[in-house]
Amino acid sequence: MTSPLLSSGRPPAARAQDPAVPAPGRRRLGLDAGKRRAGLKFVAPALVLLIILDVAPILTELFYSFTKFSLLKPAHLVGFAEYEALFSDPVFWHSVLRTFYFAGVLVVVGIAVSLGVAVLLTQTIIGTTFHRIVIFLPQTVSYAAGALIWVWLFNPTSGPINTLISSLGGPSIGWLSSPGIAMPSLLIVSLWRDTGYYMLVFLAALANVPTELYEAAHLDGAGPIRTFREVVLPSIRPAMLFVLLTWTLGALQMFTQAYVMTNGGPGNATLSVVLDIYKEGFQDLSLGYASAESFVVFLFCLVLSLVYVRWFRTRID
Amino acid sequence: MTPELTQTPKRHARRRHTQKIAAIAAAGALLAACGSASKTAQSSNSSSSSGASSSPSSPVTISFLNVGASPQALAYFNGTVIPDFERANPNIHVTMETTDWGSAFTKITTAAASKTEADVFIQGGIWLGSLASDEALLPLTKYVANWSGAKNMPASELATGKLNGTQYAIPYYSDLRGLWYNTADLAAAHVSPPKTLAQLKSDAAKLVVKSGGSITREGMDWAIDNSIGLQQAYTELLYSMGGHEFNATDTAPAFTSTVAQQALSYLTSFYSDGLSSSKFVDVGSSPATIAIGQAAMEVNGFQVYTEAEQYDPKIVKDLAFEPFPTPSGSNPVALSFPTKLGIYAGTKHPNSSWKFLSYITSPTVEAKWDSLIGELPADTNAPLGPTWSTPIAKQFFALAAESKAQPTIPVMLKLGPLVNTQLEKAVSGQASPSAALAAANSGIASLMQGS
Repeated sequence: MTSPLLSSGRPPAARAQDPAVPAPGRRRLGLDAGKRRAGLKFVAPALVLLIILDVAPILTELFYSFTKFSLLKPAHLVGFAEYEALFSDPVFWHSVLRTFYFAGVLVVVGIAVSLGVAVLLTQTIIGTTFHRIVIFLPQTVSYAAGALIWVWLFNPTSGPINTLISSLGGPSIGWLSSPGIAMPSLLIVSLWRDTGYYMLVFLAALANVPTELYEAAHLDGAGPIRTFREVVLPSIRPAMLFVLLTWTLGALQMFTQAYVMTNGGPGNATLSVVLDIYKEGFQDLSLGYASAESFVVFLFCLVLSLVYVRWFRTRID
Repeated sequence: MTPELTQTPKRHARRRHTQKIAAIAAAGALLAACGSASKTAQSSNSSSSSGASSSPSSPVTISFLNVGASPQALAYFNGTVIPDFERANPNIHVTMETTDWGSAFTKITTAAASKTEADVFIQGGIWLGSLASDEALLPLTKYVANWSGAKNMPASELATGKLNGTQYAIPYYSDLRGLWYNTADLAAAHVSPPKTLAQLKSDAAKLVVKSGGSITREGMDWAIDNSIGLQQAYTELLYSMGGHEFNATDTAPAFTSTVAQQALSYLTSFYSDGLSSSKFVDVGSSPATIAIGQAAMEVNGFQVYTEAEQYDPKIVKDLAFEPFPTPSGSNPVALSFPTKLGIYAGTKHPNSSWKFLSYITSPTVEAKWDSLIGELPADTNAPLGPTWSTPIAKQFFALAAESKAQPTIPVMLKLGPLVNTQLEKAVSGQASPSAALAAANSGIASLMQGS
């Protein structure tokens, strides 16, 4: 179903007569040379910054990925040797799988929770503003500080969580020391930290769904679940794309939680790709290897972003 | 429409001309900057390679990177050590930079790469192999040959500052490993301090405390932390059992040896038998488990004592220390992981840097400094203040003279985390001891081949 919100609201005939709207097959920027030059001047500062801050580092990283480079000695070209080493390294593949596991669970559970909370907070319940503030509050804490707080909360003997569990007769849980539980513990921290922000995004999107659509759905006899599926979800697709894209990319770059709370352990159970890149680059001084690893992650994120955007665009259009 | 589009062609041309001049000027400035930087680097290199630094008779400024110091220790440096040194050496001015241990290695390597490294800096116990093989450290052999302080250092500790026969660093403070135990806990359980490995395990069985099936006080703690504590504890055990990480020539790993397997099987049995718990993990700056009463025995260094003083002073009187047990109960081995001082290879003032380094490693200065940070001075001639007059501190000094150290090889920095990860897998049951050691052995072998 195409949401009325997502179309231009004008009939196709009107659009065809509008000179501001390019006709099919017409050049997208039908500007004369002077205007194009003027436009270029306006975007030039941003373009220069983009090249200096984004493009140049990516190209530098690509160059170093073909070198053996220890930071303290000059880099020398080794062709694809670092890529060959990377793809045959079980630790790299292990970190990739752990990162996928983290990102997959975080994004799916996170979207369900943040959207669910946002929907609940659009209802007329007491203390809506208070609830919004409380849920958003962790976003104001830096990841490193939040992680340290959770290290204390997760302490197996003196931490409040295990103390509570023990007082209820439960076992002491090694939140950060058991290989099977450490990654879910990091997921809990990430959900605690990020849910509030994405809840706000969904709240803003939900506020923009016209009430007429709800009324129409109600008149057509749709229940709450069908209304949510057929009216709300299609109407918040742009917000959903934003959340899905930014949260996935953020989760794939998970670093601080693992670095502060577990340093990738126990036994590499929480080793994310970015933490592995950091360790390879700045602890082992294998900058060439770390660059190859970074470039692979960059390519993956790029492809994933393009897939997401294309997938959503077809649905939005 | 923007104002730009309403301008006359002449004004357009003038602006383009101005932009071109600005662009050329900017490019020129960039080139000049690059040229200047390159000249500085060349000058620095030539200075250090020739060994002819600025004459001590002309004023020079050297920098010192102080790592992991407490506020009191920093105040001592700024208020006493540096002023005293500058008074004794009027032409040498010292500036101090500080950093924490967590980011020190990254700061040192990135600063060295950008030729902005401090002239003198503190370095971690296992960094030397990497830094020296990457030519970031100034060879100190010629200085040490005429240095009176060398005779006051245990030979094994001084040797940890060497790579391939060249001295690159000077031990600053020792980090000896041994067995800590809580005398009150042992008395309550009617056990004596263990001398043999068999006794260590039987004692741990009597000392462990459980509640609802969970361990609330470990019988024995193996120093698992977020760094390489477990690897260091395992190495202490391995050496105590007569084993070693490498073959006789230190050219290949020996983690698949029988003794290495026995050592890890022994260590993991504490976890599988419920005498130790992998849930007790030291994170960041958290204290050692025994220092807060969560273990009756622990293999660790002198910082246990200072952490107990800080976190749970009532435990201090109950703490005792012995050399780590051996299979037979005789010939104990104490492993030392000394923290060191080195000089940056690119320093413009090697002689002045050495003067400062030798000054801060002089017995009086070093003793005061180490007492402020709670570490054991590497110099056995250091005057013992109140911190070092305790029986435990005296035990440490006695052990230091007989201590052993891991070999200094280029891959040592990578070895620690690699082995630690495999040991964690063995301890948590993710891998069998033999599989974990085989993986460690294979990883280290490929590292050594690569280096």
